[in-house]
Amino acid sequence: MTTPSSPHSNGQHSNGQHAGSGPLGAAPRIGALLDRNIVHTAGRSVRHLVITIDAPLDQTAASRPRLPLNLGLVIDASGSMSGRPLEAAKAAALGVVDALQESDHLSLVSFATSAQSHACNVRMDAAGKAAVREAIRPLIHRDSTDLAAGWLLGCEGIAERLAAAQGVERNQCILLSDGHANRGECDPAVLAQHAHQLRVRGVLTSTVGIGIGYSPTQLQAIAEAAGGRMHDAEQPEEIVEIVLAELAETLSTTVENLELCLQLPEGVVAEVYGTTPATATGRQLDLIVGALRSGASRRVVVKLTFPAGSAGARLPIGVAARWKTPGEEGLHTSQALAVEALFGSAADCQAQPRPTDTTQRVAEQWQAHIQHRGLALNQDGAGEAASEFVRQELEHFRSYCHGLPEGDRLTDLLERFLHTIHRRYDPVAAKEMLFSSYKLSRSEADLRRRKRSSTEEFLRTEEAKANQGQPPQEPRRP
Amino acid sequence: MEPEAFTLQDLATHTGVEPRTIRSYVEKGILPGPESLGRGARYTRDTLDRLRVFLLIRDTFRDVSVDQARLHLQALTPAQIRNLAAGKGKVATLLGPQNSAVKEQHKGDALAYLRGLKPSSEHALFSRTPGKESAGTFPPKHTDPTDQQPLLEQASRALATLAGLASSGRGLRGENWYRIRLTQDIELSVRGDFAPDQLAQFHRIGDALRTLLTKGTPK
Repeated sequence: MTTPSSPHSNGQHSNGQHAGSGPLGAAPRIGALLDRNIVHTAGRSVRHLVITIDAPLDQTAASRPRLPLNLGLVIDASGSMSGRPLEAAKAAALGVVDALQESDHLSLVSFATSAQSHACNVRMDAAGKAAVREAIRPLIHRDSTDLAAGWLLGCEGIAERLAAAQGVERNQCILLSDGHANRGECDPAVLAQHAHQLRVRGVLTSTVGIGIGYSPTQLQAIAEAAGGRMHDAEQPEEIVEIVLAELAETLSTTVENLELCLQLPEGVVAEVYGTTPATATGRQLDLIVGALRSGASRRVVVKLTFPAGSAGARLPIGVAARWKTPGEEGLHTSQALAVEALFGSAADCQAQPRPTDTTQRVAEQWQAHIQHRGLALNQDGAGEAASEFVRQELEHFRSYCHGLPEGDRLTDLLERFLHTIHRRYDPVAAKEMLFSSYKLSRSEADLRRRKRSSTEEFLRTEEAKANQGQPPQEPRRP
Repeated sequence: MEPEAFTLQDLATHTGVEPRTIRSYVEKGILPGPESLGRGARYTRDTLDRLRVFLLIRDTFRDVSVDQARLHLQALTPAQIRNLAAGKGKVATLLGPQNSAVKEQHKGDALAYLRGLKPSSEHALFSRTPGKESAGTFPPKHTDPTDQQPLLEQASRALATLAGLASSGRGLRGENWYRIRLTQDIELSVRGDFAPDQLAQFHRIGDALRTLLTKGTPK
């Protein structure tokens, strides 16, 4: 499985491989390569493993009935949702009911101080749709936010249907929330653990954050560990648009539950860029990629720090994937790919060329990673730590980007973060920039139609505030 | 007739697998850990059976990775594992002719998982009540607290020491997580950058916790 490579043949096709398995067109195409494959014998060389996943196109979707959908819709009905947000969420729910087919089933849950089931496994025939519409209309806001209770109750409706269903269906929960969970289980790590357990048991969850006050930490933890997607709907009118777009993405998903398994050589230290959940067990690293819609591409970049070794010795890195194809019972596993690093002298390391395209992709993911981590620290009130983190990363990032077509732009962006990130950003700006880096790191589209300010524009505003001596943003009190 | 308790060396002798490899299988969650700690640590027959079937899977599907073989093993029921280890039946028959598809867990597993989270005495679904266990965590069953106290204290002290190390060495790259699988559904997660001797200590703690957990499992 190993591709022979000469010391300097580190191009895209010489130290990378592609694999796919299963019926033609039904398996994702997986590729793996290193940005440079020679590592210094003295150790501490940093290289990037770039894994690309291309989901298959569903070319027969239009000519056959789609898979039945077993959907759970979970709506935040806490006090802060009163008024337009809740009305928009109800409108979204009514839109979902209209969009479902007779073979689909819907569970509807709202949550506030406690969770309430309004419809459980209702078949979406005419009578079922009418009953659910009747259940949606009187939905009113209540007090605090027990997000976990609502989400898990929604998943329970899906799980009941999953246990009883004769055939194979898509089992998906969509969770809408505008607030920080402040009741029940709130720890993102625990929520992620439940999401993980439900995902491996066949129930996926996507989340929609509403307004600017939601907790991306909790919603992101759930969506990522549950193999779903996280969306943002700042304005009430966007809720309908986003929920229906998520429904369309769910129905066009051709790869579910995709996980990558990396086998690393002894002594190699790995760090995943972006927010992809990763679990290290000995020399094995498992990454949860989640669901991919028809034709989508996803890129995962893993930073590898190599140990010392003897010149000419090879370090094989194994990459395998497993995933579920909607409509099938089993999990598929790809053939393992092998990518090799090779120990060489300092001169060998210096002489090896860098494939520009791959290096550019790494730089984009790295920049998104720094931005996301720095912003998270900024919003946690750790401005100095955010500043120090960006400064340390920039030292290496700057030299990595040297000579890249987009290198100056990416470096300049981080320089601007460095000069402002010690002050707490405006929450709207921070949320938008966090969301943008999140989507970039996952190669996902922003489903919102309304145009947003760019990260550069938000930074310009923050720079102006700093120059005018305006006090930094006070932390929000959820 | 074979005994019901085995040392690591016994397992190695019965299967021809290096002790350190068996230990790595335990760490990866492929095999259950020992019932007791130290040099005389004892493993159950279930561990031997699972190891034998794991080797059968790797022999049957020549190209299968350790991780893929783990998935195959998890797809088998305890009865199937016992039968296969005893030479009754074939791996290829149970796991299907192709090794590209591994059966998922039973359709009712998600429901069982969710219902298992509900505190039986509470009507408020999944809510955490002050002073009680959080949703999804359970005390080990059928355990004698007096018997386990020293081990718990030992693990607690070691964890406290390592927590200090973790926080002092964490710095800004503190998002690195090191995870040690204890059982199929429980893992020990620690954030930070650690030296090999610190990681070895975590593994010893993992062994202690694994023992506590498996000892409480009803036979």
